[in-house]
Amino acid sequence: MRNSSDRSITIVSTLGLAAMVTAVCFLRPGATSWLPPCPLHALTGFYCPGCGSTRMLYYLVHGEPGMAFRENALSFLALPVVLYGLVRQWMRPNSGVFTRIRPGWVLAFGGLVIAFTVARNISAQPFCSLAPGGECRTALVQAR
Amino acid sequence: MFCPQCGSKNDEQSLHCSQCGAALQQPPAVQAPVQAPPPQYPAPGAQPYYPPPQFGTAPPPTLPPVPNYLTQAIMATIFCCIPVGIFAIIRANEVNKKLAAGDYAGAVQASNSAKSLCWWSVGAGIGFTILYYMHQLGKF
Repeated sequence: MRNSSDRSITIVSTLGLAAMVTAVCFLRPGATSWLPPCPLHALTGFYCPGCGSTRMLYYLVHGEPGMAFRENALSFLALPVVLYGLVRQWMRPNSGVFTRIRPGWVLAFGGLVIAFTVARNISAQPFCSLAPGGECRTALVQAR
Repeated sequence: MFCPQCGSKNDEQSLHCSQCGAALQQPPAVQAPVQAPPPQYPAPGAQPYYPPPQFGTAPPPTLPPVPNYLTQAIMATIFCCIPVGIFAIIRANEVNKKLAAGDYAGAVQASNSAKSLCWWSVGAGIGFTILYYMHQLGKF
């Protein structure tokens, strides 16, 4: 029972990532309405940590890593980690991936995600370049 | 032996101290010898009796590893659903913490909680995508 549900999580998450990669191979984010936008941003104008990750994948697939990094630095850096984790889950289905990382580091990563989210919404110069595309236009919090 | 009350010397077999009368002999503790179960003659047609293995001869059972779904938690945070994703990261951290502390049962519990959070984030992502497409198609 544990095996099959773990396996299905691995399958579903791999399929989800593959679907996104396939979609950006054929569709251009922003030029088509077939790619769903970020719900948080659509509702509040706030940049969530994932905003721009579809565009990030698009630029990666089309061979422009520099633009990809500017769209979403966190996704860009987390992508190899995620790929590694998925490969490990496929190769050794029931092993614990990343379970030997010291707990403080995992929480620190969570803190980094939150800090990234807050920073990219500040419209002061060093922070707003974390917003998708590195642009400083529509950030929510106006710094003095 | 010496009396525990007054300290005077008494015979080894004495029951009471000759000086103060205190009891000397403790009733001997009953030492039950450890016995293997007696072999039994099996009834006709019954299974033969195998004595259970002695402790220390069989290797200890290895516990299955506990996944923390951190990979999926990161994916959920970045692609799907940020609030659920952050919770999933926190749960994954709990799994690591309990494993490091040796609390296997607690780690399994945290792992199951992380797993259900991952399913919630999948549901949220799929649900939002469906709503989005329905809105696009003018069904809303």
